[in-house]
Amino acid sequence: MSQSEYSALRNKYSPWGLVGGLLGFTSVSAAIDDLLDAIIIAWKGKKLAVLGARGVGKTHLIEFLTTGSLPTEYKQTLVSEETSSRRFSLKDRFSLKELNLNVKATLDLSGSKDAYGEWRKLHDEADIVLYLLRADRLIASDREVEDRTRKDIQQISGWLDARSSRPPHFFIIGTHCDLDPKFQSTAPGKLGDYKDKFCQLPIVKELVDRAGGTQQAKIALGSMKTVEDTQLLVCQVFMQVA
Amino acid sequence: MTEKFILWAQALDNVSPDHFDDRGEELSADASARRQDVVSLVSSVIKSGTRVYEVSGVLLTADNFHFVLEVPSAQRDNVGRTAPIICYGDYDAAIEDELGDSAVVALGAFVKRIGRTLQTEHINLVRDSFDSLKKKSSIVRLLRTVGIGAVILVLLVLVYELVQRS
Repeated sequence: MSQSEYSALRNKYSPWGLVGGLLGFTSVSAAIDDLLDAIIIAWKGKKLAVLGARGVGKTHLIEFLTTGSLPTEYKQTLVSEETSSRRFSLKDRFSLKELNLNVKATLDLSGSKDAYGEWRKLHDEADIVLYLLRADRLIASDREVEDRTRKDIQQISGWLDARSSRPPHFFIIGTHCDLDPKFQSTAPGKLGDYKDKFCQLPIVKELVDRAGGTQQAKIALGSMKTVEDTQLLVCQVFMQVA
Repeated sequence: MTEKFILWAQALDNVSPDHFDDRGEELSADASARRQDVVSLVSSVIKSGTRVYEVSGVLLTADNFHFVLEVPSAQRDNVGRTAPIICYGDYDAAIEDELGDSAVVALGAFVKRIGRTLQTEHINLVRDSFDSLKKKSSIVRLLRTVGIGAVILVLLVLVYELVQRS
């Protein structure tokens, strides 16, 4: 698929619309198969860095990406844990076509600020950087979460600048949206509006600016409460890397 | 009591600074460089070492000279997660029997200072984990001795052959 064909497809299927389509909210066309091909190519053999403060869901997301399921036992992550690489498959969920990705192993790191040195090592080796934050707390204007987010991005923006010749794909992933009543009451078709409002938050604008602007820093929002929710969130990221 | 080890725990509220004790010295929140150094030390063992012991949440990973022990505390954090304590230390080929006991004492002093507790079951597992480390170290030492012996033997044979030819 050429770049122009892919761009046309991407325009036709906005992230929220396509995710809705994948989950059966709208009719699915064969064009999605082409887009899945583009996703597979874009993710094959890529190394991930999953960063974020404590309790934002890093371990949860890594577990999902490496096993396809959610953790059964939750513990604070202090020492880094190496995960195995995995061919990420959504075949069981979507009978349309197998989305079989080969993602390289990554490390599950502590969310402590004291782990910034380890974050940087992982960031510098990564093709795709996923920075997780508590969207529900930012929407609620939680000062502590804003301050921590600001400190994180001060670090990360410096690392991104140092890699300006070969920047990674950078994602800001807002988690725990299920804890925001507005998200719960938003109809699937209106989730784009919800995301737009999130992007207008001053701290989010600052984040995106410091991470290189909207071309460089993509945003995905959602919940990881269930496997389906996590899949929905991951699909948003998959599509924007393609 | 904690002079031999580095101890580390994450705050239960997930907001306050982590607790660090670097060989008997409590690291303040603004000692960021030293705190990051400690995290790097621990991470380096996890990356380069092997998992020696893993029972009921008690994990011991070791490289050739250092170990990292992870022990669950009895408390959970504000989102319901198990809150482990990390203990980093050095060991040499001949592990002293009291290393496990020293680690238990250090862990006890550290958790008391930060307002946590360890369950008896986990304390016993900590001792077991050091027994496993000792066994692993003995095997490595044995293999090393056998390897060196084999090399010496080969050299002796070569020398003998050379002497015979000349």
